[in-house]
Amino acid sequence: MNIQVNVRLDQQLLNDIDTIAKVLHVSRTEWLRMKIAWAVKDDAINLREAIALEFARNRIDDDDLKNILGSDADDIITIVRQLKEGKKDIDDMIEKGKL
Amino acid sequence: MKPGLGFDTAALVSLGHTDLIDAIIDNHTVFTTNGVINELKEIASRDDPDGEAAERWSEHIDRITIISDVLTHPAEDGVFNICRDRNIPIVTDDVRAISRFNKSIRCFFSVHVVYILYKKGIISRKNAIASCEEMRLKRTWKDNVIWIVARTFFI
Repeated sequence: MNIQVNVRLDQQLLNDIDTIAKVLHVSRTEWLRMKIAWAVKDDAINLREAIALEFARNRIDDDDLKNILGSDADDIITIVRQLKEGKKDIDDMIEKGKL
Repeated sequence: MKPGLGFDTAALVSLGHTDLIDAIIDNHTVFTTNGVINELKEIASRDDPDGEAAERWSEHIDRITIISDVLTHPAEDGVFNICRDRNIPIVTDDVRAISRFNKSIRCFFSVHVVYILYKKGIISRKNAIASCEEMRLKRTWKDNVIWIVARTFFI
């Protein structure tokens, strides 16, 4: 499903985009779509540790994590849950003198 | 009697990057298998940081409780068996192994061992964070998530 997004751009920036799109023989929309997709993927890779930390802090949920990290999300969910459960277990065990 | 923890190869190597080996052994009975020790010796023969980390454990081998078992593959399955039989937690950094084991026994990451030492007042907060940082530098981005989240334990 495609959703239309309205964005206001500086005239000079738009002129530059149009020139590049002409050189590449693609439409302005096609070029923008491609660049945005690339930027999202790039950020997802560069920021994946930060994304995982936001998940650990409950600022993004399982679905958001799966959307942005794809197949890596399941491992991150397991890591974060296990870290939290392990910490809780340790706190309980130390309190009860079992560790 | 000291509380027991069962360690797989990756967890021993991770913790071998820190200066916590004495503190771990002084305060816990460290259980592992002959399969893990064989893997550790193999890693220790390498000329890289993991090799050095594995080598540090070999200097303390007489203070580790090594259980002989039928060699399992992967080796952490043997550690799982001794942990289940003794009702002690397993320490592993293998996410897939944790997914398989955590319904049956308590599972800890190597950073949890740092947390135990910190929580019991054996090491300082500064030392705990520094130890996690030392382990972090040797890891992949997914393993780094373990450190990044664990760091919040000490803040």
